Amino acid sequence: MNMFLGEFEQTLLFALLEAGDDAHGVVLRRAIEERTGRAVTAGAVYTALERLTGRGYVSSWLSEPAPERGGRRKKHYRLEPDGALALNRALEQMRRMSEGLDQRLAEAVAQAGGRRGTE
Amino acid sequence: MTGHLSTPRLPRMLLSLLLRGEVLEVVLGDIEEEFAAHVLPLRGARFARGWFWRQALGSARSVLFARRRGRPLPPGRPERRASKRSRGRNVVAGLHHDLRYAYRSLVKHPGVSSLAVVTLALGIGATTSIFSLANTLVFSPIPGVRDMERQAEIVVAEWNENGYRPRWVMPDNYREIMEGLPAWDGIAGYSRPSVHVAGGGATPQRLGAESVMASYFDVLGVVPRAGRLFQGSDDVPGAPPVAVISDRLWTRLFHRTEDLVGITVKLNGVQHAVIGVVPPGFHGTERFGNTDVWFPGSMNAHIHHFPGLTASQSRARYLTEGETDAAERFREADARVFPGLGINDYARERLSQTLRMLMGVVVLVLLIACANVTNLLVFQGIRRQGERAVRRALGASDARVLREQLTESVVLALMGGAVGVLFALGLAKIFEGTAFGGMRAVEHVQLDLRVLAFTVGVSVLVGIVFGTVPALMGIRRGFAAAFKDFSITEARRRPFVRAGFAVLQLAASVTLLVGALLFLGTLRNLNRVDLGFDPDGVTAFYVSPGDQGYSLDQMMAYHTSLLDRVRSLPGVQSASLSEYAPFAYYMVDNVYPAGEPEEAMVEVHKNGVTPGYFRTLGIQLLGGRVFTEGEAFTTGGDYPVVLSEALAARLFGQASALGGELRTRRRYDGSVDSFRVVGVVRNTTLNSLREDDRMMLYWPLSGVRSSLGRAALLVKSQQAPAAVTASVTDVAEALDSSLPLYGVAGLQERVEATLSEEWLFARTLALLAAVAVVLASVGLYGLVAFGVAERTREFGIRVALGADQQRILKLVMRQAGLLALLGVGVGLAGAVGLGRIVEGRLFGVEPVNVIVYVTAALALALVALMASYRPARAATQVDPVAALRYD
Repeated sequence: MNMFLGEFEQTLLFALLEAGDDAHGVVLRRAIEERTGRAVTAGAVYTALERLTGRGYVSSWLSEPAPERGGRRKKHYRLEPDGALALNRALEQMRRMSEGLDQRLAEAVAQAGGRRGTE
Repeated sequence: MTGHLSTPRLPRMLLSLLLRGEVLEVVLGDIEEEFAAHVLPLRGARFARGWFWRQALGSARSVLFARRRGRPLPPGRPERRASKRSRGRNVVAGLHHDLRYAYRSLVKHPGVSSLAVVTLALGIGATTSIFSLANTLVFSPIPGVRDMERQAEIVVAEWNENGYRPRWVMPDNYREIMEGLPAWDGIAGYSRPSVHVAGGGATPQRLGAESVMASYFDVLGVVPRAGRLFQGSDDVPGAPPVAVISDRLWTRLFHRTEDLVGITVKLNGVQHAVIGVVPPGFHGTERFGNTDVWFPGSMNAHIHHFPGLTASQSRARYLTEGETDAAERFREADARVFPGLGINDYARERLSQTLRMLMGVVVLVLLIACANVTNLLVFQGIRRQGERAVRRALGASDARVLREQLTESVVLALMGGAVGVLFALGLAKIFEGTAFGGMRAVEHVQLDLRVLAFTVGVSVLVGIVFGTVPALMGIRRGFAAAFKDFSITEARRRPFVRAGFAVLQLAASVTLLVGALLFLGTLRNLNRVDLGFDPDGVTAFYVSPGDQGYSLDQMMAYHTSLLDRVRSLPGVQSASLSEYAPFAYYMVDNVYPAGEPEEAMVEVHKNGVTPGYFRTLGIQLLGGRVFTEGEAFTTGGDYPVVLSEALAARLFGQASALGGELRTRRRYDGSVDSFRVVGVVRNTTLNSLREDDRMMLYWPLSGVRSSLGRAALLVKSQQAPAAVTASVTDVAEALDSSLPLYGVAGLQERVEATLSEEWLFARTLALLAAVAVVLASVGLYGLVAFGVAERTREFGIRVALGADQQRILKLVMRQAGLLALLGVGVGLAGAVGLGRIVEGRLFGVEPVNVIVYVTAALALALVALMASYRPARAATQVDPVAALRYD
C-alpha cells in the first residue's frame, strides 16, 4: 500500500484538520491561501480531495442546494481516521528526516539567498 | 446573500463547457460562493473579476489535467474500488488523458502513422465521395421547396412493365380523381414544355418551362424572391397572360431589377407580364431541373401535399386503405402516387442500383485499407511491447490499455478521414458531367454537413474496427487480456491472422481488377458497335417554327430557305432536316405489307427526313433510291418510303422490297395510309448502342406535319464544331431573329453521352483497382518482410547447415505464392458475385470471363511476386554468425 502523501495532499489534510466540521471547498482553499500564501484553485482542491476520498482518508457528502452558490450543492469533507494516521505518518517521517538538519538547511538557504542577491 | 455584482459570465460559461456533473457543480459553487462572500467585498470588483477568471481557468486545468500516478497497487485495494466509483466523474479527464497518450504515440512513430493515415484516407475518401454523390443525387433538398418529404407526385398514365406514358389530364379531372381522398391539402399540376423566351433585349432562347395550376407555388411552399407568385385567378380562362421567372433568368434578362412593373417576356411570341421571381436554385420539382419560366396553363402531372404524413405512409395509405369509393376511383383512373419529390421513380430505381454498386466497390477498398492499417498497427505493437510491459507493471488496468488503444486507432482514423475528405473532393470531380440513369448530368457534387457527418461516422467506425479486431481474435483468453498481450505473443503464435489480411487484400484487388476489365471490355465493345452512320463532323440543331405560330406554308418556306442558306455556307458538305436526330426516341408505328392481314404488322421506328439525311449521315444506299427533293415536301397520296435493311428483310423476306406496298392504320381515325418502298438502306442504331432492334422506316419530312413544327437540322462540315455552330446560328437569326436554334450538339458527343455511365464505372473501378493493388502489394511486402525478419535465426541455422540461397529463396517465395494463390482464388469467387451484380450493365462481355479472369490473376500474381521478391532475397543474405546472435 502506498504509504506516502503528496505535499499538496498533506497541506489539504492539515486544512481539513483545522476546518473541523465545516470543511468544504471554500473554507479549505482560504485556509491554505491564508496560511501559506499559495493561491490554489477550487478545481485543484476538488481533485485532490476526490483522490483522498478514493484512498479512504477523507469522506464526503453533498448538502442541499444553496442560494449563495447560485442554487448549487456544496460538498462537505471530513478527515477519516485513516487520513489522520497517514498525515501523522507523513509528518513523523518529515520530522525524522529533518532532525538535526536545521542548521545545514539554514546554511544552504543562506547560500542560495546570497547567490540570488548578486544577480 | 445575493451578490449585487454577478460573477463574470464568460469564464462561467467556459467552465460549464469544460466540466460536467458534480465536478462542475461543486467547483463552480465554491468559486461563486467565495467570490460573493469574500473576494468581492474585500478586494473590489476589478480584482474579483480577475480572480474569478484565474479560478475558473485554473480549476478547469486542474480537473482536466489531473495527474493520476502509476500506483503499484494490487487489485482489490481501496484505491482501485475508488477509481471505479469515480469513473463517471473522470470520463472527461480520462478522455483527455487518452487523447494525449494517442497523440504522443502517433507522433513518436511518424512513418507508420502517416502511412496509416494515407491508407485510411484512400479508403475513407473513396467512400465519402460515393456518399457525397448519393447525397447530391438523392438527398439534397430542392431549394425553395417546403417540406419536401411530405410532397408526393401523382402520375396518371398508361402503365406497363417498362415504364409509363403519362396521359393528358386537365385540372378538373384531377379534382375529380382526388375528391374524397383523405389527407391532402393542395394539388398543383404542371406540364413541362420548352418555349422560346425573348425579353430584356436579349437574343431569344429555348428554355425549359412549366405550365402550372395557379396553386403550384402555394403547394410547394415557394415564396417569391421578388414580386408575387400565382394567385387563384391567374389560371382562369381569359385572365391576362402572366409569367414567373427563375432567379438566373431574372439576372440574365433584367439585371435583377426589383421593380417588375412593366417588365414582360415573350413566350413563343406571346407577351406575358413578369409578375414574380422564384428563389435562387428553384428550377421546378426535379432536383436537377432546368425550368426557368412558369406560366398558368394546362397540365398532365401533379403534386400534392400531405400534412403530417411521411411520404411512405402516404403511399401505404393509398394502396392499403383501398376499400373506399374514392380510393377505387383513384385506382380506376390509372393514377399512382410517388412519395417525395426531386427524382422520378424509374430514375430512382436505376440510380439506387448504380449507387449500390459503387458503394459496394468502395467498401471493398475501405476493407483493404482497414486490413492494411491493422497489420501496420500490429507490427508497430510488436515494437512497442516493451512500453506496454512497463505500463502494465506500473499498474495500468486492462480496460485502460484497451481504451488507449481504441482512442489511438480512432484518432488515426479521424485523421485519415480529414485527409480523406480532401481526397473525396478530387474524386467527386470524376462524377461531374455524368448523366445517371437518364437524369440530367450532375454539374456539381457537393460536400455538405451530412457528408461530413457521414465521414466522421465512418472514420470512428473504422477506427473501432481496426482497433478491436486484434482483440477479438484472442477472445478465448479474455477480451482485454488478449488485446494487451496480442502484440507480444499473438502475432507470432498466429501468423495466419496476418496472412488472412494479406489474402483478403489480394482478393479484393482481384475482384476490383476483374470489374475494371469487364467494364473496359464493355466500353470497347460499345465503341466497336457499327452505328450504320458516320457521326464525324456532323452537328445537330433543333428549330421549332411551329411554336412561333408559323402556318404550314410558312414552315415549309422557312425550312427550304434554311437548308439552302446552310448548304451554301463555307465548309458545309451537306445538310438535312429530319424529325429526329440520331439517338432519339423515335415515334413508333405499326406497318404491314399490302395484301397481308393486319396481324402481320411489324413495329417500326419512324423518322421523317429530307433526302440529304442519308448523305449527311453517310448511310449507305443498298438498293433503289432515296427521296427526291420534290418528294420531300409533298403531302398526301402514296408516300414513298425507305426501309432499313433489317425492316426490309422482316417484311419481305428474301424477295426484293423495292416497289412493295406498305399499309398503316392511323390511330386517331382508323383510316389506312399506304406507302411505296423506293429504297433500302443500311441499318443504323436507333437510340442505344446496346439494342439491335433496327426496324427503321424513313418517310418524307412533310409526311408528318407536326415534324415541320419542330425539326432537327443536321449539318456535316469540314469546319470546327464551334465555327459551324456560329455560322449556322447567324443564318437562322437572319431568317427570323425570334426563332432560336437549340439543343445544339455534335453527333459524336450525342453518341458518347449515352456511354457516360459505362465510362464512370470503368474509370472508378480502374482507379480503385489501382489503389487496391498498391495497398495489397504494400501489405504483402510488409508481411513477407516481417516473416523473414522473425525467422532470421532459423535461416541462419539453415545456411550454417549448408542450405543454398536458392533453397531459402524458394522457401520464402513458396509461402508468398501460396498466399497469392489463395488471394486470387477468393478474389475470383468475389468476381463471380460482382459479375452477377453488374451483368445488366455489361455489353458483349460474359460476366464470368476466362480471359478477364486469367488476366487479372496473372497481373496480381506478378504484383505479388514483385512484392515478395525483395524480402525473400534479404532472407538469402542472412549471415549465419550474426543470425545466431540475433534476438
